[in-house]
Amino acid sequence: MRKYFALIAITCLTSSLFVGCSGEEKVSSNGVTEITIPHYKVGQNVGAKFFVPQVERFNTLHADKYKINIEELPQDGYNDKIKQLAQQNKLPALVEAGDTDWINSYIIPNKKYYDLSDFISSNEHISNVVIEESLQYNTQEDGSVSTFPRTSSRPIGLFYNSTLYTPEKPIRDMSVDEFVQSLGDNKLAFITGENAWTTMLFYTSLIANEEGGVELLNSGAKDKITDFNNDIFINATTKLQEIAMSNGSSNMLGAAYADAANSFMSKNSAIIFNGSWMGSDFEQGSEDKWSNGFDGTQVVSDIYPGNVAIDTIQAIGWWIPDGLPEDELEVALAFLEFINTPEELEAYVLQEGGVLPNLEMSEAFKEKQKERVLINQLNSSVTSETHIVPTFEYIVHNSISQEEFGKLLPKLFDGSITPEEFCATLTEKAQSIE
Amino acid sequence: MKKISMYATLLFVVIISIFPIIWVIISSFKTNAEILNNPFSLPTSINFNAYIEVFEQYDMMLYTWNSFIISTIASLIALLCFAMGAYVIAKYNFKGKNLFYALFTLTLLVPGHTKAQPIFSLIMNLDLYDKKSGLILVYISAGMAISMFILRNTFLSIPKELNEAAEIDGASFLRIFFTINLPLAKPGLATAGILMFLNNWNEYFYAMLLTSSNSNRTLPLALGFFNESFSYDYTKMFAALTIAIVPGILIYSFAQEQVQQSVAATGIKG
Amino acid sequence: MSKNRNLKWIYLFLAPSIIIFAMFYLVPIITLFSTSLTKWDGFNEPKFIGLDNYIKLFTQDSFLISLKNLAYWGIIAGTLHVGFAVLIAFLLHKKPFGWKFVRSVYMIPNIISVAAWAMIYRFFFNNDFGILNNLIRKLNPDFNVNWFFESPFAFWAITLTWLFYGVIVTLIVFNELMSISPDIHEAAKIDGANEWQITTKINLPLCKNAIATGIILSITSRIAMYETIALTTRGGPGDDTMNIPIILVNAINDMNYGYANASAVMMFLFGIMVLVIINKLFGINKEH
Repeated sequence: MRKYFALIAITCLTSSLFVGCSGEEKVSSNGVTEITIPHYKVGQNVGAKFFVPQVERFNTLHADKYKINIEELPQDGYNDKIKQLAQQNKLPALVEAGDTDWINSYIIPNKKYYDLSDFISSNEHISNVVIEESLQYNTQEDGSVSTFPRTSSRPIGLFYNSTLYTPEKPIRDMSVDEFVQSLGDNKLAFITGENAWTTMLFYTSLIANEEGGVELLNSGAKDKITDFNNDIFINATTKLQEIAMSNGSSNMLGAAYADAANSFMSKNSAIIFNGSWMGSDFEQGSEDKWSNGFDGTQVVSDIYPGNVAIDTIQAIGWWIPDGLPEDELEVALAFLEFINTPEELEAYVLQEGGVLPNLEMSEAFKEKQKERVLINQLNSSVTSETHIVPTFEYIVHNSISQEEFGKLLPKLFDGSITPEEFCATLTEKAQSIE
Repeated sequence: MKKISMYATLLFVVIISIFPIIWVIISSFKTNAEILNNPFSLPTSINFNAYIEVFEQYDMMLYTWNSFIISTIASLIALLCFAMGAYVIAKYNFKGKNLFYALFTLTLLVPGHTKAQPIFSLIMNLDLYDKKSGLILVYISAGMAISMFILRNTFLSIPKELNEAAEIDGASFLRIFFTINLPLAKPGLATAGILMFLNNWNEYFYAMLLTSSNSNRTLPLALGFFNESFSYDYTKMFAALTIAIVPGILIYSFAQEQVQQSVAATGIKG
Repeated sequence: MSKNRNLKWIYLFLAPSIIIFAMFYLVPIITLFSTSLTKWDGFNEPKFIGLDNYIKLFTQDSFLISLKNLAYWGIIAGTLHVGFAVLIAFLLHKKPFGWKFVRSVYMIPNIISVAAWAMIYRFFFNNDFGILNNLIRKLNPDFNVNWFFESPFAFWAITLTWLFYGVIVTLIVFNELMSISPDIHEAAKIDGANEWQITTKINLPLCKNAIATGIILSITSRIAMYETIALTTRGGPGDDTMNIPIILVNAINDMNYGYANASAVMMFLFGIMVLVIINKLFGINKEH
């Protein structure tokens, strides 16, 4: 018995030592620097279609020097995990955006980022391609660039199933009321789970359709809005409530983004609000997501009623934490450089939509672009007359957009609170953050 | 009449306990359309495609292995530590004995989640964040109160005379513990061990808080990921859920008696 | 029995437990109390702010709703939940046909992880393809309730995920019943007591301690209920199903450690309160 027990004890000790060691990062083997970054654009996520092959292309190109591994995280948990990793000073070498409140209140004031200004200005092709307005937004008072700016503008609109819904004229030429009338019995794929993404987009367009709404949305990116007790929000909320009650999809309460996508791609709803990147779900190769007779060729894209499109140019992108080992920093910068080469940028807008205002497109690109019907539809719906606004997300505090908004929506949608109460509660929540 | 209502109540217990699980397992063999259109129907054909795809997309073996190794090591180390503690408390008189016992068992009343932040910081300071050993350490501590209850009572039930006789024979302290008391305490050790193992096996909160990488992910934690990845395809979601719950049920079916005993033992003292 | 030469061994044997206790209970609890009086983001030094975190807690709707929810859930757990579990224990004690099977099966929901159980219930309650609503729709075709996401159903949906699953209490009480000496029952029968009288006058009082333990365990697990809510409603709709662990985790994620720990201190205090009150009510400490 004693021997037996000693054996167990020894096994425990040795195996716990072994386990302890196996958690260590392997930085380099045979001269290749490896970094591992957590990301959500993996697996079934819509973003995976472009991101995963892109990382593979990078790894192949630099097979002798660098390797990037991706570790899957749910999109919903990404921001929190990044914050937890920051606590431990274990931020990955590359982070894509994150909780904007936290970045503004912690990462930027404490200078926890690697200054990208030299990187951008020393690479001519990169400094040419970034959008000036976005670069300014990402530049801090001391002239350092904390987060990578946008290079493309990607209008976010909506998709509808033409076998279910046949509007008489383009939706962008309708008013909100006309749009509602044209719907009939057709369902909208709203959600209230996660950050209520599709619902939030439509809500943004409703705000933009209010008098003064466009200006409000455009002003909020700098100073977060904490008072929702005004006509713009109350009217937009009232319309959202009416439309959701009459035309919301049957599964909208508690639904996550994937449920909405499922509802749209099984013909249970006729319209889904989303950005051009969703276009790839409606192309060949995505059939496994379709059911109930849904066919991607039935899908048409458009922008919102009142000639409104959503695009947040004042947004943050990839960033690199400060204090990285030299070799990891090299991989991270090489990756940023790689994804901003003309070929990769073209591949990006080809896959996910959008336009690159500062890049002369190649002929080959123009040829391929013609095949991207949905994305072209969306791009060409945007004219100089179109009101382009940032999302509601960008004008409110992070916890409002990520938590409270989605959690309050079910109450609005089942009629247990009025639009006024909805706005009052949001106000109270927003002001308690200050 | 009395009999009927008694059996009706017991039938109700059986239904609420296994019906949801059986429904999940049956649904994992149906197609997405079948699940959506007719929740009561039986699958039209049995195939394991959903399971194969879940195993292909996710490293379920790894998560199961992680859960297993973390739970086992934590339970074994905890068992050794608490057996030693419970043994001296049960068998010897020394200063502060009652205080120690009271403190150790009172830990049962500290809701595990309250210590989230201090333990988060502690694990970080020890540089054990996102390491299996960090989680093991936390799990060792989690079983303290219940193991102390069970093991102290087990050692109390072993006749004192055995120790006295051994001491007269000149047996050392260690020898008395390892060769006389531990073998006799086997039932108690099994009870406490299984209870701790099951708690560790199912733990979600600290696994979520203290790990981040795929290589250290445990089975309950993987469930949170399926939530997003598979909501396109409920068949796979149900298959993944089945994979996550079956091992626990299997372990239980092999050790039913001990599990029930160990749970009841929680009530040894209020 | 103890001899001085053993003292070294005694403390050596006790040492691992003491170290674990100090590291994972004593120090964390001291940290909780002290940092709950500070503003602390985990990076900069904690700043002493007195009771501000507590004042903020008690003026915030989400916390007040959590308290209300905890009160309801605590009462339901202590009465209906424990009551049902005790009923099952008494039924099993009669050893009806198949009682061992029922006892084994009743344990299963406790064997699988709370996380998995929460997700099973999410599908169970799904409006489109969940079993419950489709059963109800057989009687009332127009029935549409999104259990986890509509007021006031969400609160009850969460309640239903644990209400009937009291197997731990059942087993504790069952074991206590088994340990009652048959002589007592024999004597009572000779005195002419019927079955109902034996149950209420003899068995129930003798199980008092076991029931009290069950109540304490049930209520404290309501205080700490996290997975069930985090994987279903996340505290919504609105704040309908908010509870303290959700506030705690949100505060940790917002790097508001002082606030997080203030809410943890409240959980801790509620746990102690439950212990003291139930012990008083049942007069547990009087014997032994």
